[in-house]
This record gives sequence, structure tokens and C-alpha cells, in this order.
Amino acid sequence: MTDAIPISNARMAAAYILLVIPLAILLWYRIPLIGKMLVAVVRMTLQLLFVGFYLQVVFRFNNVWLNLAWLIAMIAVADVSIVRHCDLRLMRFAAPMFGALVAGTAIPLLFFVGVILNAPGLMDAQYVIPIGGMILGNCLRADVIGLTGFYQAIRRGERAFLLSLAQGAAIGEAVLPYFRDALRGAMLPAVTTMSTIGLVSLPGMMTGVILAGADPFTAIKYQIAIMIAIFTGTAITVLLGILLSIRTSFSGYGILDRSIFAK
Amino acid sequence: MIQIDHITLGYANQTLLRDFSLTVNTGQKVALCGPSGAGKSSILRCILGFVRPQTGSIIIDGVELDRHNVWTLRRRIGYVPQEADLADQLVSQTIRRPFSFRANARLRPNLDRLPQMLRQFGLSDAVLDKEMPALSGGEKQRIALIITLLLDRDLLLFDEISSALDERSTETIAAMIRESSRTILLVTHDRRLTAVCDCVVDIPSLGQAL
Repeated sequence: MTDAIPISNARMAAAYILLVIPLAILLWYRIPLIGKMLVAVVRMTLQLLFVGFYLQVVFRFNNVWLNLAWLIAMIAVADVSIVRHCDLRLMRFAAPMFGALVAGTAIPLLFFVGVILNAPGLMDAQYVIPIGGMILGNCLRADVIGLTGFYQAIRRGERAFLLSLAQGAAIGEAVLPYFRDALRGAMLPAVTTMSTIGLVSLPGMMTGVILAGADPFTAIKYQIAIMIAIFTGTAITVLLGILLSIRTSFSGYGILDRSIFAK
Repeated sequence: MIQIDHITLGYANQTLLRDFSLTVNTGQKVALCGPSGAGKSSILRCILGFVRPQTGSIIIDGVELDRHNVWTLRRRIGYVPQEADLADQLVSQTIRRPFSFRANARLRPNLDRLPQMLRQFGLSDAVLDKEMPALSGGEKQRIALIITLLLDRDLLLFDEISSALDERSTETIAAMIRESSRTILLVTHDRRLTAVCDCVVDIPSLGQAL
């Protein structure tokens, strides 16, 4: 096995030539997506360049506090993104979702680095940042599905929900069916991915580890561990995201506060 | 006893019901009548704490309803809404679910009365294996009523309970109300039901329903 081949700046620029193909398709069929596509490509490039420069600094210093600050910044960005995508009020959900993301990232991440890798430092930038990013990035979609599913289902089925309260349910008992459905909906994609991984596509982390020069079996071990860590992180963040937000989303009478919705 | 004490119901700048008071004594059966949108259903929802009055209060057996005691008070009230919007599951699961709540644990033996109740309201045992969405409006209403009666509450709130029912079921309910010793407050336009009540209260229209 050899280390990954470095990409020169000129050859990196050549990658953009590939964009001619989707651009031509959009132009030919007059699909109004060209502007958005170009903005997205520019944003992706600038964001990743910025991250690349910042990570170089982070990796060079490999300081516990700097690594922690980077993780917290990633969690904060994910937090805002999840709440916005759920069409929920940021002021009401930012704090509970942040708590859920911290727990859902920290628990599988520390277990991965400390127990599975048995790395010499728990906060080593080489492991903590990419693995933390992968866990967080994969939790994002599940959290949006879970939170949206939970609150929108109660909003749509409010009469059935209120009838449960009238029949003597405590708030926890009344929300339980919606909670179960939301958790199932959020975790199902991860379950499906786990059951088809390797057959349908070669997963990202495995590809990365192979490109970095490791043998495929080591890459597979990393991939299995990261899939389990992601699944654990998903379960924790969805569970806590809903549980921590329930307290402030219902009135003392058990009624869903409609002002939690941004739309 | 239910005391509705000078309540005003409304939303934003619209008043639905102004300075309304009513006392329903223990064991009394009272019917609320009036035009659509007068706030009759909102009065029932207010008693359950689902709608908060802008002014005034709800007092049940001397206890003023607030966010602390609403949970205990609800466990004394049986409520059948106009549209029995029950969760999408098997009828048997829908009937059993309220008995899974901790507050209703002691009432679980009441489920033994289920076959008799089904017969009383003209439903066969086969209905238990159906999905709730497959039922007609009248069947859903009867299932909601059966659940409420099995829960053995002291105070019963019925909202247009006969709106989707046939003649026979309505007469069964009228007989049940007449023979019951419970306190019953019902919203209805049905003369067969008002006829078995002790008192009929007319609610004038001020605005639209909440």
C-alpha cells in the first residue's frame, strides 16, 4: 500500500472541468438550477478551503482546547442548521438541541477514540476531528427527520393527542406514540444504510482510509466502528433532542405551544 | 359539581363568549344548545383545560382549575368529542390504550365489560379487529363513547354525541343519560337528548368558534 497521491493545484483546478457535463445537461433541458449550482460550487470550494486551512492549524498545534473549540463550533453550526430545517424557532430549540448534540457526539466519539482505537490521547486532532465530524454530519439528517416528525405529527393530529390527555394520559404517555414514530423514522435510514453498506456503495470513511494507504481490512474495521458510532450518535441526539425540548414546547396544561413553529 | 364562573372566551380581538356562568350540580344533566360558532364546544374544552378563558374560572367540586391540578381533574372527567379523532390503529388497541395510562391502571378490570358494551351500542366483536380509519363516523363515535363509559368518570362531557349516530344508538344514549347518576354536560341539538336532561341552556352567538 502507498500513501495517497497528492493533488497539485493545477490538477485540482482541472476537477472543475467535470462540471461541464452537469452544466450542459441543465442548459440543454433548460432546468433553472444553473445559478444555484454555481453558487453551491463556489460555496463548497470556499468552505472547504477555509476548513482545510483551519484544520492545518488545528492539526499542527494539536491542542486539546483548540480541538474542543473546533468540535463545539461544528456542533453549534449543526444545531442551527437542524432547527432551521425543522422550521422550528431557533430561540426555543437551540439550547435543547445543542445539549442533545453534545451528548450524542461526545459519547460515541470518546468510546471510539478511547476504547475501540485505544488512542494515546482522547482529544487527538487526527481522530477526534474527522470522526466527530462524521458522527455529527450523519446525525444531522436523522435529527431533522426526528424533530420534524415528532412536532408536526402532534400538530396534525392534535385532536387525537388532546383526547389522550382527556382520557387521563400524563404528557409523557400522550406523546409516546408520536415519540416512537419519530424515533423510528429518524433511525430507519441508518438501519437501512447498515444493512446495505458495502453492497450498494463503498462507504466514505473506508474509501478515505484506503486512499491514505491502509489495507482494506483495516479500512473495513474503521468503517464498522464508525457505522456503529454514527448509529449510536443518531439514537442519542434524536432521543435527547425531543426529550429536552418537550418541557418548553408544551404548556402547563399539556397543550402544544404553536409559537414553537417558525411557519 | 362544575361551576363555570364568569368566563370570557375568545382569541385575538374576537370575543366568542362573554361573561358566561353556569353551575352544573352533582348528578345533574345539562344540555348546551345554540347556533354553530356560539362557543358551546369551547366551553367543554375550557373545562378540560384545552382552552384558557380570558377572564373567569372553572371550578370543579370546589377546586379551581389551574395548570397544576388540571391533570388530576381530567382523570375525573369523561369526554366524547364531536369528531372522535382516534389514532390510526386497531380498534382493540384504541380501546385498550387509555387503560395503559398509569392513572387508569386500577380501571383495567373494567375492560371485562367491553363485550357487553359493544352489544349495547350495536357493535359486533368483529369490530375490534378493524383498523380505526375503516370505521364509519357513527362507529368511531360509539367506540369513543364506550371508552369513556369504561373509564367510569364522575363527570361526563359529550360534544354533539349523536351527530353521526343512527336512531337506535341515539335512543340507547338517551336511555343511558336518563338512568345515569353522573354529572353530565352535553352539547347537542338533538331533541331526544335534550328531553332527558334536567336543564337546557341556550348559548347566544357572539362570534366564531375557537
